Amino acid sequence: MNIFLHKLTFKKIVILLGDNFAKVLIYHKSAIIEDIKIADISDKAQMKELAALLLKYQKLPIYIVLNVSEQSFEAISIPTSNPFLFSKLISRKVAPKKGGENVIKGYYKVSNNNGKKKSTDCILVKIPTVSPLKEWLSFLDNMPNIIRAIYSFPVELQAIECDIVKFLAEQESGINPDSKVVKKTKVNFKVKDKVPQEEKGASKWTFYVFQSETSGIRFTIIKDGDLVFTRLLHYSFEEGPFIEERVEVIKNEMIGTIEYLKRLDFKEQDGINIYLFVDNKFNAFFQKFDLPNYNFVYINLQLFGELKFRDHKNLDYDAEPDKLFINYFVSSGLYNGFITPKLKSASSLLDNNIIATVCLASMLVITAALAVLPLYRISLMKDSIKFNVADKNRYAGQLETIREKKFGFDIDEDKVIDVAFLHKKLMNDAQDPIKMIFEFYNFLPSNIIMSDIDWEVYKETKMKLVISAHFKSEGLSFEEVFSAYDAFLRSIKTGFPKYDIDHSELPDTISFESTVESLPINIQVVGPVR
Amino acid sequence: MVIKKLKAILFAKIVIILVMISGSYIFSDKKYDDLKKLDRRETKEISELKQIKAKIYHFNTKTEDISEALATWEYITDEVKEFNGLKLGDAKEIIDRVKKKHNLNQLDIKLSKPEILQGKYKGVKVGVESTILKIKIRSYTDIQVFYFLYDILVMLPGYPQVIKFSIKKSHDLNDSNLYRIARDPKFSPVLSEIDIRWNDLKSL
Repeated sequence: MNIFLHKLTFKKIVILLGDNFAKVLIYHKSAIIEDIKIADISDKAQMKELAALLLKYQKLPIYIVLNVSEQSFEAISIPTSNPFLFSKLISRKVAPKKGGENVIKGYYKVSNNNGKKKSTDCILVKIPTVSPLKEWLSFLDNMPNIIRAIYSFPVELQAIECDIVKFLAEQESGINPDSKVVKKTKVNFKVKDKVPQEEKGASKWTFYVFQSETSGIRFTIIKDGDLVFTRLLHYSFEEGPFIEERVEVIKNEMIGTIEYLKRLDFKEQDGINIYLFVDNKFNAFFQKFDLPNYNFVYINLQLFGELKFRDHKNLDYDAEPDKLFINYFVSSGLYNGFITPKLKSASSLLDNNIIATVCLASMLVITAALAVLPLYRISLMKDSIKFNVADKNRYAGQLETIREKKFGFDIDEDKVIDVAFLHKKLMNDAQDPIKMIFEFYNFLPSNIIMSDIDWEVYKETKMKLVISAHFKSEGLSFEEVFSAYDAFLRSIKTGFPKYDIDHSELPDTISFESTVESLPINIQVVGPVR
Repeated sequence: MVIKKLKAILFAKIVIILVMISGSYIFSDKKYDDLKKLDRRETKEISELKQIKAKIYHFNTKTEDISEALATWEYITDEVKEFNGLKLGDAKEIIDRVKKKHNLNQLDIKLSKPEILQGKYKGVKVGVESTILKIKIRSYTDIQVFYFLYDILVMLPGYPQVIKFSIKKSHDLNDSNLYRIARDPKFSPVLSEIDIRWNDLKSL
């Protein structure tokens, strides 16, 4: 989030504050648009010029990068792995007790090397507000610009090794064949350890030598990616370019520093990569010396700068290496800033403003999308409706022509079709019981007398006729009774060929005692079924 | 001064964001309402277009049906000018007349509440109004009943459909029963029950 907010601050003022002098650079994105050197803060003319510049860019926040000798580092371990608790503990409990008053305190986290999983290791950075920082803060207090935070030069540049590796890989693969300035001394340079440190059981050590015209020579030691040691050798470049004796002194200081590292936990067999961010002159003298068996790598400032900041033109990094480092801070810095409580509210306000601007921009996009999307869909739908209405009118015209041709002018065709359909349906569905009963009558012989008739519509489309009758056997022999009854049944089966006919049988015993035998019979006719 | 200005700017930005959120909500809400209305209108237009196309297809392909429908229409509208459904007042008069004509002893009629039929009798502009007539008749002979039913079916306007018809003869019409009838005119050897679904067309 912090880096995201800084990346969103496209225009900014960076003040690189060294022991020799200060450099003020105005950035637009990653390009320097103006810069000014302040050799002495007590020089009123220079400060007036700076004040005018700051007033010109009064809306821009100020980033102070400190490369002074007056900064100290202390390794501490906080007994919590919870980031929220860690932050509270260090800022409210631990930091206030360390270093006394008038000290700007901050921290950066380092790898947990103490074996305790429930603790967080960090380096507490203490920057005393003494000269020249004190005077600068006092001066900036009267300016309208907001101080974003104070940054430590060695802290911000501790992750530069990734870019060095990339730079050296490109040099080796011949992407930039004109370069002949990378001279590997003594041992071959290892681009990057492919084997994890835990497996090897050894630490990875990196030694940066930064040549800074605002301060001198800065040594920065990185162990396993964490800044563990830094020191500044004062050197004023205004006295002239490097001389061999001075370079030798620096070389001896470097070797002395490595010896000091041995008192920490550096071992010769671990090896150490020493990157020299120095000018050509320095390197020329340096190559002459008899060097110990370490991996010394000279980084050509100009080539490195041109590779890393391709869009920066006309910058002489060999003459002004600080511009290279500040460019690096602006583009790839950790932005691990430290801030005083006094500056905090203004800085937070600036952060909140940036967040609000981002929200506003997002809202603009969302609002535009929300407005455009329904409007676009409405427009599409209106077009579709328009097309459908036109189509409907065209077909309605055709229909009208056909209607007039087929039905005439004054007839509602829906009504005609409904009436014809319903009329046909009702007529077809109407069953005629009288017709069926009278047809049945036609087959009745005179000796069968109907008593009851039951007729009904059966399963919507069929009819069911149930007749109860009496068969009079008067004057008939036994055989004649059965044959007459059979003849009757045959006649109705012939007469109603499409119907199912069920009938009762004559009784098994027929009495001939009585004169007129009346035999009950039942006939059921259902159909048509065929 | 700068702090105050920054605070004012921040406040203004927050206000603008809130206004934009509420404004975009109101705007999009209204537009989505409009979209819904347009969607409904589009569905209606498409449905009407389909109906017209179906009609054109029907008119072009079912020419014989249309001629038949027109013939039926002309035949029906010669007598019926308006489709007002069942004429219940006429029915009573007709039944009374037929009862008198056939000298029925007793006639009991029940009528269900008329209703517009759905399902297979559903029309677009004309429907079928229907009621069930339950008739109970007592008479001397079954012939009287048959004539009565025939006259009813012919004389009732619309489309009467017999759905149930029964005749029960308790006595034959012999000399002794004729004598009994002569003495007691209310003696009715024949009982008949007729259920008629009486339908007629009605404009919807």
